[in-house]
Amino acid sequence: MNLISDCEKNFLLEAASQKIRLDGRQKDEYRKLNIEFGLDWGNCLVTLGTTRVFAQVSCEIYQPNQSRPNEGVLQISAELAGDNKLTDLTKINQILERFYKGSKCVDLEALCIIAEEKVWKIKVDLSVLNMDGNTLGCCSIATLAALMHFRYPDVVSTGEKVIVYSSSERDPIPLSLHHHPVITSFAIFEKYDFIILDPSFLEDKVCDNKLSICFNNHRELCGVDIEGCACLSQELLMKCSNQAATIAVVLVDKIKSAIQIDIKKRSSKSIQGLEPSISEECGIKLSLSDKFNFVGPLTQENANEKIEEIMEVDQSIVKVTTNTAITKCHNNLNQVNTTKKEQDDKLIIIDPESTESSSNDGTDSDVQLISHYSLDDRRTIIGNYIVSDGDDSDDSDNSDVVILD
Amino acid sequence: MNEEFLKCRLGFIGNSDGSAYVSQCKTTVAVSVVGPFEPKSSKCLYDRGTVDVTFRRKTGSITVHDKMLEGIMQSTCEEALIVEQYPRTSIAVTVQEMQDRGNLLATCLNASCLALMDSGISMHHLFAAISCAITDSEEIILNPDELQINSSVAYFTLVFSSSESRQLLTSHTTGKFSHSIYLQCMDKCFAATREVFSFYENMIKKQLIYC
Repeated sequence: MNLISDCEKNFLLEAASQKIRLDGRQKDEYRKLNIEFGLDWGNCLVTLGTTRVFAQVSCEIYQPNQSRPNEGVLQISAELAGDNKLTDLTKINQILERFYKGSKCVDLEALCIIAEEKVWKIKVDLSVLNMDGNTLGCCSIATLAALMHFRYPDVVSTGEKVIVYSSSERDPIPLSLHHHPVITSFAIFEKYDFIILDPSFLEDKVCDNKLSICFNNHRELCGVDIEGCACLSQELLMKCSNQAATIAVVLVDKIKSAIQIDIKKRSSKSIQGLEPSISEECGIKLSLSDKFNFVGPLTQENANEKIEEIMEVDQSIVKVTTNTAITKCHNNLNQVNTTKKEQDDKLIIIDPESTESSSNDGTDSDVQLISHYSLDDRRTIIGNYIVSDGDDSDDSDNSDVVILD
Repeated sequence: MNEEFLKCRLGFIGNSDGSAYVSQCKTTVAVSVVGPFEPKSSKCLYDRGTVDVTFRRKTGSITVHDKMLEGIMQSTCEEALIVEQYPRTSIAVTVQEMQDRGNLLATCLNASCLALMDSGISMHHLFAAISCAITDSEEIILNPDELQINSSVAYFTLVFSSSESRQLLTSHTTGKFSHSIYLQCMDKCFAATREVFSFYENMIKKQLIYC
């Protein structure tokens, strides 16, 4: 997965020399961005093209660092959800921590409960579900969206005691963000002077140089990361920065509008949460019906009941053919489902209500008694009534009857 | 009963051999299957493949209870897979929780079965899990919601195989209940799993048509 064949590489470079991208995008075109929010606060799934990152923000009360006693703690960690040990996300982790902590976008001082004792620790956990290029950009969008969406519980400190209110008691508070930084990634093919935005997986692997610029919504630079060996001119860097600034504004607007839609949905209680989107091509859903067809063995309850009554078989004898399975629920014998019956046994159903008790002791030779009904037994059962064939010998059918002990 | 019980998309996670994104009512998980691949020599068994299930909470850290769920999933998956066919290899199943509103174990198990089906690894049988709760009045609620679970006296998760005869693979229970109730639950859950299996079938059919 992480290795690229020479053919692919050459083909892509060839295309780059003609300033064409494999997926037909313009060089400054972003893939389709989709942000979904879950039922919990600070839970989102960001899809950029096919790159998918799932983020969850959580908080806990924590002891502050000695050096910064009145500041909360922000921690960002990204992990790969697919068990592919080949890819290393430490680089992405470092960049995210540097850009988001370094730019001081989260008001950490507001997260202090008691100085030097208790502060909120905000943890952002990113799970990279699918890596298809621009993982860093997608992670940064997910981080920002999750942080903007997150609400932490209200806390009141009364000198000695700290009371944390649950969401039902008091509305949780959103994090206060000074600004909204977002990372824009470029891939640079130096030889062909071809700079592309939002590289795909292949482009990401083949390019000479990767440039990640972090801008906030006020068009302020929050960080730059250059990976690779090409030397970049000042001119090029400025050009990219300007482009990144414009894109950052657009991205932040998109996140904001997505959050607004989500909050509107929440107030109207029509929120769905995360779930697979079902379309013609992919995905399927199942609705569970209320009634099931019970096929198979009876419950033990019936088996435990003692046999008190012996009944005579009269007209209510039903001949069961091969394609009928019998079941019993709520002490009623129902014919519920037609399944293939392996044995060609002839079975008798007795209607328990319509028959009269008989004086005959019903242990006939025709009657097969089963003391234990195993779970994997597929034979149909009659019930806890002993079938007797009456005084006179049975003439109609040479029936084998299965009886539950 | 819920209007939409199961929703699924296969092939959701790209860098894996098989994956499923499943939501069962309001609980959502994503499962990826990687393998069979060559493991570290210490994990290598000469006559069979090893199955590794990793359960990931959305907040990163997992508890002892989560470890137990992991163990249940691992034994169920291992039973279903024909591990003898893949000696000296390892199969890694990663279960990522995305949203939990009750019945997490059942959802994880159903999702792992779908992901294993998607990966094309040989299996003895498929499996489907159904949860049910028992109320004070001994009423059985299939696939209960969070509230119903919390107010129940007992809570079961039963896993059945797809074979013609009734084979109970895994049973995880909490609370106090009578023997007869347990058997009644088994009847109900078994009937419900038949629907889940037909869902699996439709899922694969659809996957084959459109891919």
